[in-house]
Amino acid sequence: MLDIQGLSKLYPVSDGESAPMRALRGWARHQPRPAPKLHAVDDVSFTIGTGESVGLVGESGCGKSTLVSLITRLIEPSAGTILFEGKDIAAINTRAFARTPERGAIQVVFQDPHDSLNPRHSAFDAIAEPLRRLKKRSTAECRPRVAELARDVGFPEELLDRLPHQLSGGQKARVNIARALAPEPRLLVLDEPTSALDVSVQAVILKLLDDLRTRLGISYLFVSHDLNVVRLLCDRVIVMYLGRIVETGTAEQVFEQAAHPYTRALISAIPRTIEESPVERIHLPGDPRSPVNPDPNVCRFYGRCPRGVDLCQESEPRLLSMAPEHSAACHFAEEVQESALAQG
Amino acid sequence: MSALLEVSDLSVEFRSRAGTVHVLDHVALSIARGETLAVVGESGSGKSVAAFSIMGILDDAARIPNGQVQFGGMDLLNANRRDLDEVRGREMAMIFQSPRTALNPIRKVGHQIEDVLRRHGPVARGDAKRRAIEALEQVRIPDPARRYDAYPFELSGGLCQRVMIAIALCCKPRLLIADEPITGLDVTTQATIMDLLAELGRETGLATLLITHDLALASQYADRIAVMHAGQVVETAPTASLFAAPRHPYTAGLMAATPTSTTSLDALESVPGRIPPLNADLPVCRFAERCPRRVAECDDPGPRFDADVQAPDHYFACRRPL
Ligand SMILES: Nc1ncnc2c1ncn2[C@@H]1O[C@H](COP(=O)(O)OP(=O)(O)OP(=O)(O)O)[C@@H](O)[C@H]1O
Ligand SMILES: Nc1ncnc2c1ncn2[C@@H]1O[C@H](COP(=O)(O)OP(=O)(O)OP(=O)(O)O)[C@@H](O)[C@H]1O
Ligand SMILES: [Mg+2]
Ligand SMILES: [Mg+2]
Repeated sequence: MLDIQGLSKLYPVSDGESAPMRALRGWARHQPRPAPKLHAVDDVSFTIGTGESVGLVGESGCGKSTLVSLITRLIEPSAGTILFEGKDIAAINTRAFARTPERGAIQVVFQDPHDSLNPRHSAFDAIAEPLRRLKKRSTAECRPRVAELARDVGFPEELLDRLPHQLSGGQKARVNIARALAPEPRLLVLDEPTSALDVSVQAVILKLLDDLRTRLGISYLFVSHDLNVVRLLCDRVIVMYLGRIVETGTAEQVFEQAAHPYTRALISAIPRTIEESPVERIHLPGDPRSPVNPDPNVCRFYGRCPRGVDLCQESEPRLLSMAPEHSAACHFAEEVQESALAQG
Repeated sequence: MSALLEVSDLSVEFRSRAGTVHVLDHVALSIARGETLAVVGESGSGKSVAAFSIMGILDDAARIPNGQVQFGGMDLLNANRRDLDEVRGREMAMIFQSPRTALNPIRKVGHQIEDVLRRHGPVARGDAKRRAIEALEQVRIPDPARRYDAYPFELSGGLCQRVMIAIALCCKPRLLIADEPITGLDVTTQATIMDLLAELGRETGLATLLITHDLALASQYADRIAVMHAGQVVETAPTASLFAAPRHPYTAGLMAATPTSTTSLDALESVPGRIPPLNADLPVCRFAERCPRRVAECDDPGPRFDADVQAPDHYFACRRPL
């Protein structure tokens, strides 16, 4: 249902040189020197099937939220296509997108349930707002649908008149989800939907999300730092590093047979309770490479990779298939995978 | 071992329009030199208020009807202003829940560290810069001399978090209070920061009060864990014995709700109900309403704290422990 090809978002950044200076310098050299670009999302391709749940993980700043904003058409891509049910929505500009039927079909639930609700709007208003705006329904017409949505997400109907500050964190999270479900989306993008919640509330919300997916057949793109949560909720996992996809596969392939050294480091760093068998942590020394004008011939992970050799500085590894559904971008993917399997 | 920090019998109330809110109730916590104590519990259980009381930064609506906070032999709740200012910020420092908002967005991070150094005593100009760079180096920020000149927006979330820790550590405190220091960071960055704190504990005897939602994290890095619910410490024990045999039903509930590398979605359980409103007349056991093991005697008045006979460091506040 969602097919993304070659998607990029580059932000121009200042190099400490003013625009007139740059123009002057460009004129002196007979060609303008372009501003350096921060590669937030760089040539990313992947698909999400109908009813499929895909997890997106990676280091802070690797481009997850930028990718979410691109897919939900809040920002303009620098390059690439986003086919949603066959239609290239990347070609529609963000203003025009707000008026297309796809606007309701792709919904997003943001990170913090506490700041994503308007403090002066009741739970009812929050859930009804997308119906009014996208489906042009009156308040009275909204009533039965809002009640139905509240039931779907397990939000007590008698609390619909309450304002956000009168609700608990878990109740606010439910309102957010109900609101995203209101226009009957076919793709739900969740950017860290549970990170601000307690474990006990989180358990309820995770079960709810899983149940909604089976009942309503919605597809999920699920962004999270908690890999144990991703493992519980996702069929497939995408691992990003510095704007690039470095590994993708089924949850089992990524968690059990990781073939990229970054994925392995990530999995080794999941906090484990005393009862779980201990895993030797893989340390990542050194400094991450700069996302500004990255060298096209150097692996993005070079410098922190425990393996890094000369080859990694001479050619950037491309995403290559390891097995059906499973690919990794590392010159040594097979060896990495073998050693992962050997260590259990 | 004598404790560096000893909080005993501490209660905190807030006056509000809805009446008095009993946010902390007879809380006891202690931390020895070099030790890490994790405080875990649901949102609203009083973790941050406990930290604020220790730091002496509660807001004006708060009242402390009873309790002691002893730090290195000093009675913090009754000490004079001068002694207190000397201790707070210098001997004990805090990292707050949201790092980006705690840094000044328009001041270079190096200068922000110097500000803190100067607040705690005269420092020569060249000396300040050297010490600020050392502080950045200590938290393993690569290329500290260059980062000295960076503004917060130029740094990733993980680096900002480390700058916050550098600020907290630059006066070489003996106690660090870290309120959810790593939420929102990826697991590799989390692990680097936690390893750093553990290393400082070993090298310099730094004691850490680690506030977190994450039981797995607490189990990996804390020597002891205190579990809070509705303003009370309901169980406290060395990490290994807490995990081997949790005695309070709330602790067991939190454990069952924490996803691990092997749990399935079906096996994941949540603690039913929610923390009772803290302004009402509270029952003897604030967990009783939510507790699967409640019996009639749970509502009898009288003390509830008990120690495990087999494990003398293991305390729990329950009449019908597991
Ligand atoms: N408006 C912007 N202008 C310039 N750079 C930006 C902008 N927005 C994001 N970036 C940069 O793009 C990169 C990716 O940021 P993004 O917010 O997508 O990361 P993320 O993976 O969501 O991180 P986190 O896990 O911390 O939320 C970062 O280097 C960030 O600094
Ligand atoms: N200034 C205040 N006035 C009234 N009540 C307050 C005040 N500050 C905190 N509280 C209440 O005290 C209780 C404990 O709050 P605290 O911030 O310590 O919780 P916490 O355990 O840190 O939660 P979280 O995990 O969400 O940070 C809450 O019920 C809160 O509403
Ligand atoms: Mg993000
Ligand atoms: Mg708090």
